[in-house]
Amino acid sequence: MQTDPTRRATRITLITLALTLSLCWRAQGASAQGEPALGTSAQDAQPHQEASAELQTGISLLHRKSYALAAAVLRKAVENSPDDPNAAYYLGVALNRTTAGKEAESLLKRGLGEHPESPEVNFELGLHYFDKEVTAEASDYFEQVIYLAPAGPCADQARAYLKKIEEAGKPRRWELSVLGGLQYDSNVILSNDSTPLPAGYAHRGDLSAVVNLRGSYAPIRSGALEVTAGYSFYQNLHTSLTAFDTTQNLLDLSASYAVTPNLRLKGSYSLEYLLLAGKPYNYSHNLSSSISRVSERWGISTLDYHYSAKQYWNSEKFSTNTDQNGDNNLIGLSQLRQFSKYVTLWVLYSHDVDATRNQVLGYHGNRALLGCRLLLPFALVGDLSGDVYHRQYGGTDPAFGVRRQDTQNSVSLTLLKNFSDRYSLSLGEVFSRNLSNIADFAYSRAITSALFSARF
Amino acid sequence: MELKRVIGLAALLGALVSAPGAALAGEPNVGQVVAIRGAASIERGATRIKAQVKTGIQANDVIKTAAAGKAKLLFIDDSVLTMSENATLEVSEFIHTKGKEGRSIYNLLDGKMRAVVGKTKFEVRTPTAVAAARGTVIFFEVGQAKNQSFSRIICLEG
Repeated sequence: MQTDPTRRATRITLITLALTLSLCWRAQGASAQGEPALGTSAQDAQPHQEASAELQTGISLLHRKSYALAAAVLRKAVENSPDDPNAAYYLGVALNRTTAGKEAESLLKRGLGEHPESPEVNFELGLHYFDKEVTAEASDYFEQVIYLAPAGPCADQARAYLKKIEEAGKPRRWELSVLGGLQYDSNVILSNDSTPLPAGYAHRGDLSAVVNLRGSYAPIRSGALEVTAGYSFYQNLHTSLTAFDTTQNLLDLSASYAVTPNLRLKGSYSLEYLLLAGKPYNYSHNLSSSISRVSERWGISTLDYHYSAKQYWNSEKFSTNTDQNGDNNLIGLSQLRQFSKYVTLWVLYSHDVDATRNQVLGYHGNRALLGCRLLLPFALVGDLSGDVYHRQYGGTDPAFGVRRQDTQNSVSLTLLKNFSDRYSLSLGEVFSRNLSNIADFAYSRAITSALFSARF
Repeated sequence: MELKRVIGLAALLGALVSAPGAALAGEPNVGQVVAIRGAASIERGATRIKAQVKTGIQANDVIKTAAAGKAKLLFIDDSVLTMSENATLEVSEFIHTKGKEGRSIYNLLDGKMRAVVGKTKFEVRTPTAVAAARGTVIFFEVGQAKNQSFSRIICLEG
């Protein structure tokens, strides 16, 4: 007996929907109500008689959550019946729960074209975009599920996902970031490479392992006001020049307030405590304030003021360290302008005055910096910057009989690859050369780094 | 006999015009409405069709959503356009051949729209901007501020 094609299609559609209903349960989004019963529908037996053997098997495998195997079997079903929308749709479901790529998206859209008012098809597309973090699109499909069948089994799941999206959209109060990697510094001891090595050192350059941890909490994060407290810990460990292993502890408290959508004030306080080779080196209290203005024509203009009060400890290696005790006042002006989606430029000028207990060590500094960020192919971000920092020291150095003047030129290049919003890898090279009228203070230095970063 | 034939033909034409997804004058559908909230309409030449789920969309159609209305359109190149309320969109060109890269051009005349770009070269023109994309998710907004037309285009993914 031959089956009427219309009746057959209707049956398959009914069965399809019944089966898809059961697929709404998904491990990652399982609701408290648990999994809807599988295979209890009156129509459930039908497709197994009507559909191809591959389709039946594929559906069974989907029921058992063997998605990869189901995808392979359903692909065969699609090859055998390329015009069967159900086979295509189920293959879309199987792929959506394994690779969730373009093919899955295309097949699910084919399902949507066939059954636009099926809550299950809409739910599956919602899942697809949820996994791809296209939340606006995902929300649309989940809302459609609820609209089409507010009391249906998919609706509860859809509500749960909408809640997740809403939660994710809220600004997070806690943030944790971890950065770690390797760094090679060609001149750790900052000595003039045209002069013999200082006594006690076998070489200038060294490889070090670097780790930086930072945690922050924002107790206030309203529309205009944001207050954040944070702590960061930095440590580098050298292979051989262990006397220069640096440990930094930094506590900070900052507040920013948007006076208007285009004008923001910021203020911060930080306490920095530095150890060298595990021994106290210095600590500083730092105060910063800034005012930033955003304009369509000029980008972001920022005026900064920083104050820093520094206290040093003497040690066996640095016996006159406390001569550097004092404070530093800095004023800076910066401009950041995005020229296209791919190119952003920034320029900065700052002037600082460093007053020290021994005035020979204090200075007046002027710094100019020019940098750019380029968005490159393969989701790479390239930062290139160069700066010149001139320092005029406070008095005649008694050891050399001249007043010291330094000019430090630096070029920095960083290539960043973001693997996701959370993980990134950066490769960096910083080359700096300090020119000084006193040869002992002239040096050059290159730092090469490979750092992996994760944010939570 | 002749009268019966005329009545039959008239009834068939009436059914074609009123049925959702009906194609006029043999024009192929390039997409369809897959979700709708509130009211939306499709202007096809001098004809205005009430947009419903499964209503077909053809090249040169102008789709309008009313206040508190929303429409999701699925095109045969897998593009999905979600129109917000008070939006007007014209499908000004749609070329799609299976297995070949086609081209689709839309005019967003007013309102907001989100596009999940499908397989064709995709272009959206607004009164003040043109955006072309491939395989991405983009948000468009066209409006008036201080008596001046503005367009806002934000890439949400890709």
